[in-house]
Amino acid sequence: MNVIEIKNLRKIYNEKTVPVNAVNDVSLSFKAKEFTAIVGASGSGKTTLLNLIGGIDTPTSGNVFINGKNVSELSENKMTQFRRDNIGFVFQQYNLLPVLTAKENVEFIMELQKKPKEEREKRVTVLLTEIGLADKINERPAKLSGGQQQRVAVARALAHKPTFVIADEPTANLDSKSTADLLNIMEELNQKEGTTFIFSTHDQRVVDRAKRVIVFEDGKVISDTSK
Amino acid sequence: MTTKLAWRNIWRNKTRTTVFLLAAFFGFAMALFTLNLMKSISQQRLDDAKNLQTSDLQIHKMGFQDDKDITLFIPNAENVIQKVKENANVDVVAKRISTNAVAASPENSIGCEIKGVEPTTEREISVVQDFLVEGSYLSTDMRMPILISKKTADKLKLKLKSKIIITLKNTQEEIVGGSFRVAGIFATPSTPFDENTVIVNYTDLQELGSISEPQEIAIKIKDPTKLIETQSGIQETLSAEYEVNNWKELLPELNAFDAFINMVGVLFTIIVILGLGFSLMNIMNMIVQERTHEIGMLRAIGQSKFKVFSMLLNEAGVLMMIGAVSGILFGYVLTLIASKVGVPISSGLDMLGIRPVMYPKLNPEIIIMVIVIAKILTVAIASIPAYRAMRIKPNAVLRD
Repeated sequence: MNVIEIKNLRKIYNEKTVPVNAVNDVSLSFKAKEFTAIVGASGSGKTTLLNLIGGIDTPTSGNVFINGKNVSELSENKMTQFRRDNIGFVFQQYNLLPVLTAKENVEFIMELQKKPKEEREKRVTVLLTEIGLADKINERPAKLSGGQQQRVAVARALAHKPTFVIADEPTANLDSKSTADLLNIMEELNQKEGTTFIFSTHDQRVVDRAKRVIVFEDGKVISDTSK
Repeated sequence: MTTKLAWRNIWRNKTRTTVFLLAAFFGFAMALFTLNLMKSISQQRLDDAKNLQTSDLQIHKMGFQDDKDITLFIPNAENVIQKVKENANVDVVAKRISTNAVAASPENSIGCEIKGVEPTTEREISVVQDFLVEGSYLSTDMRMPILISKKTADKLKLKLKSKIIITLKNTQEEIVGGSFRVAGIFATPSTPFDENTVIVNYTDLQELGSISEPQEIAIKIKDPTKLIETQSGIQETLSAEYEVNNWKELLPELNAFDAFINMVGVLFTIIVILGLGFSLMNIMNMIVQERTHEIGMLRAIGQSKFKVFSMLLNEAGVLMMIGAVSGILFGYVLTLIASKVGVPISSGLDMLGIRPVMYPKLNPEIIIMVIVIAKILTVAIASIPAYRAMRIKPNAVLRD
């Protein structure tokens, strides 16, 4: 079954002045447990596509269905709630809250969801162990390396058991070893948790590990291959 | 988590936070101390005037308050006193005669208000005897004793046991005079009282002025919080011929001064907190500017607009609260110290009945007022940057 279905999605910036077709009539679908890389040059529109799928931007036309629900029609508040409950985000710059510890960062969304403390603690312990940072549970991000921070970001994205995770260039700031470690973790969690991963990347090492690769150019899908 | 997050966030820039907290600390401390001092000055003027002149309640014949005519005495005064004493909240009742007179010595003369009082009851209702600097209170072993102030004694060049001639208009509209002897000299904190008042025995003045009944019945009550209730209770037992006034009605200028002091206090607090508020707004604006990316991330991962708004308000609230609580505590300590050692006040202000050294008291209502104003202004001021933060789009976090 398709977890995400995109139909005739279009995003035009500067419509009234110099229109830019960032996403141009794209239709795609993603199944559960997919591990997909969206590849393309800078300015090809892959980040805009991720924004639209993740509901943090609204399309000019077209629709995004998540588990059969047309999220393009949701109000801003409903969309925020939908993101909180169904989508995990991993950002290029990690974007952990610097004043919170690794544990607190991971449980932050669960706090927003008002999950009970016991459930939060249990989940945080499992995830931080999975990503190999059980001993860094009380460290703040400044005390962690880039790779470790990104692993915590992955744990945060998965903490509330989302339907899918969107990762925007997650390895862009990591060295080879950290990239390999992160990919291992993401693959393992993809299998264990059954969460769909969609990430944009320039990194060939990431592309090599992806099960499906979508090549994007000028706002359009020019190839979509599954391995 | 919200308060913990707010607490940690405000310490992300230690210098900025410390500077603000120092400003808030001293601002609140000074505001509280100054307000307590001002309130105490106002309260002291009221207390002095009440204790020296009016007492809690007074009864007069209707119309006496308008022209203070010596002939407007209280008919059946003894009956009235009996009725007043039946009120459960009445403590002491004293009758008085009061009229305008001229006090003269061989050296000089002055216009004054002469008060005829019954020493035994008057001592329980007035505090003049506490301010005697020489002599004693209307002693019985002296014929026609009189109490005058130090200021009057200096003007008339009088000493203890000196003679003083009092001239007044009696109830028959004749000018009469009597020779009194200085039994005591007082110096109260109230310059207007000291410059204008001489006190004699009730019977001496009664005789001199040919006055059969008192013009004033002064009442001290047991529970000052039941002032209005007691006033109306007494008025109800008397006919419309009598007028019962409380000290606030009898001293309208002091009451107005108290209201003015309260208004100045509120304005002063608003100005101090507003200054801090603008500083807070500046800080909050910087915070929003610096953390646009982070707030975008929070919005992206599902933090609602309302939560972002309240997170920023929380940070502003925590900042202001630390400054306010520590400042108020320091202001409290300062007031406590000042209440023991005293605060010297400009000597020229004794003309207004202000004592040269003030011992401010801590007024709990001032603390409540400062906290309420701080709270309202913090919410109002921090709402602007918080609203800006709330409008940050979640895609601010992703690359363009």
